[in-house]
Amino acid sequence: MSDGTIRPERFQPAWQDRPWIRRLLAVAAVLVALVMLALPLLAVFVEALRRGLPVALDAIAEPDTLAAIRLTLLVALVTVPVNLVGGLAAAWCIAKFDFPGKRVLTTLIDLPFSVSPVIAGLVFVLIFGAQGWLGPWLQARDIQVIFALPGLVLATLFVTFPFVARTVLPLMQEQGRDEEEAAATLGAGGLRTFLMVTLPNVKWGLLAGVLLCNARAMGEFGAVSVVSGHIRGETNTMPLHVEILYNEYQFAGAFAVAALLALLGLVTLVAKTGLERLSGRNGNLA
Amino acid sequence: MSVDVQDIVRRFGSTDALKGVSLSVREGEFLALLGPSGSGKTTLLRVLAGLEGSDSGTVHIAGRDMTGVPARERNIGVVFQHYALFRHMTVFDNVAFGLRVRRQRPSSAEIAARVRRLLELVQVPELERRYPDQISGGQRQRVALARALAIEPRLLLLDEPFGALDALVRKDVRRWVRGLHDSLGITTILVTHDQEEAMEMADRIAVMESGRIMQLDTVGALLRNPASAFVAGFVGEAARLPCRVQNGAAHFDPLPVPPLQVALPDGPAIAFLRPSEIVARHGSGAATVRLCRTEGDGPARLIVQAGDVMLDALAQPDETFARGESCRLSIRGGHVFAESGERAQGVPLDETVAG
Repeated sequence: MSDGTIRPERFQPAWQDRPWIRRLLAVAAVLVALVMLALPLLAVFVEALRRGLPVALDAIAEPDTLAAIRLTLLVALVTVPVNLVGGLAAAWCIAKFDFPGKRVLTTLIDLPFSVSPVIAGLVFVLIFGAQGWLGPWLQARDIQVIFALPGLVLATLFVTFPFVARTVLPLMQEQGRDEEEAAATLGAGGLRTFLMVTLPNVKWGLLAGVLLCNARAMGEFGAVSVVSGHIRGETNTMPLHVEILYNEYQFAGAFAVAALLALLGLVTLVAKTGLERLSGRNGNLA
Repeated sequence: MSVDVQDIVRRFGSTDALKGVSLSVREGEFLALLGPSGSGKTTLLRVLAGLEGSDSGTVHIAGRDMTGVPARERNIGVVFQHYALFRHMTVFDNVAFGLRVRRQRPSSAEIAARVRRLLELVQVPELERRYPDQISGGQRQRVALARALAIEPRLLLLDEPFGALDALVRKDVRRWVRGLHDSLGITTILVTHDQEEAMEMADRIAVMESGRIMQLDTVGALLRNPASAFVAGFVGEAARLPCRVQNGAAHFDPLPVPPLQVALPDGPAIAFLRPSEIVARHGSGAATVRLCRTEGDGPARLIVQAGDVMLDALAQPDETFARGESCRLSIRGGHVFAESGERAQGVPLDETVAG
């Protein structure tokens, strides 16, 4: 050092922190992630499999549990396509057009994120419940919304609406309207432009949004809990069923279902990461 | 096709982007819309393309009223400022797009043949399988042009198409585009803020300022007879000097610049002096040479400090200067505008100093 030269292995860009600080921060981040995120998940699987896989599978094969799984998949099956179309439409309007009320719409999209899901559930009870605004009208026609599938779907729709819109909107905004305008000058109509230009440009983002929407639709607890009524084998979704089993000290069943639910979430996450990689490699924006 | 624009007004909120623009472009002409940013030239282009509506006024293309005709039915080729290539499509698919969305869609063999011909025309046939983010700026520009030409447009609109290219490529591409225009004969309108580009490429230039066309003329006419102080200042190189007219002569004092004879009423005025109109010669004067550059056989080009202004000037033929040397200036001519907007061509007052 005394001769003023910097040995290459000691050279360090001015913008970088000292190596030990960097290492310390990295280790801290990994530790927090492990303890706070990975460990609980691992615990669920360990607990579920503690008495062996057959016991866990038996717990899942209970009729009430199977009903809960079916219901969860059904709710997701209805919710995800609806929110796919709705979210895409909202993002498209906001990104590509100017209209009065655009800001209001943008804010509304975020509403489900900022309002507690329980409140969302209560709102639906208030509207469709027996004592609610539309309650008598619905009862007279023998239509059941609350404590039935329609209520579950509505509550889930509300809670999961932002996912598609929020992943697609920034992409569309960043891409601007140039390509749509170019398509128009080349003779393409609105629908064709949407299908050939707008949609392919956001396909990866859209898929990621759909996966997140799906994960949340299957995992939602609060809003669904309020409108469900917890009728076993009828209006219990998987998260609700896990809670019931747990409260009844049926730990094996509770953790088996919880593990299955977690597994669905993990698959979603892996699929999303895979998509992001794929889109990155294609040079197209995710 | 000819283009006829009458009294187009376009407002955005409280600002008027176009304040009654009229313009007519002849069949096969290459016209440039030249103006600083915010002068409304891109808005005018977008109105022509049908991408922007107008609050009043009419556009006729080949005699047909375009009011209410959507962009997709206008058959106008547009090359956008940032090209707006479809990023998820290959170069081939980009160029083919306009053919595929046609009502009477050609067969795919025919489309392929035409796309290849167009890519040959713009000299990038090897790129057809690439994506826009895998090719250079100049190549993208050519692809954008091929895509615009694919629909066999009757009018070609170019919105600052060379802005994103580096200087060397730009010069080549400019000449090539002009050559392409000449061989295809498509009426072309170019939007640019670069006067050199406009002068090199266009048959006529429409100079725009704050939503109006100030003057529409050939390059020579714009330089010889600028209609306003703005045009004189914006087109061609010129020093803008405030002066005072008294008894038919424009005086520049306190600057050490000799007066010009002008037929203007007494009062304050603005003079525009081109570098070729300012000649410096050896002699003790109040002007100082700050830079002297010789190029080939012509007179040396100088930057001369006169008072507190820097002037581009020419040296008296065969004279060169050292930096910091003092010199005497003579003025061969210039455009002088009175406050009323009245214009006069200045002539040297003192015949003895005329170069």
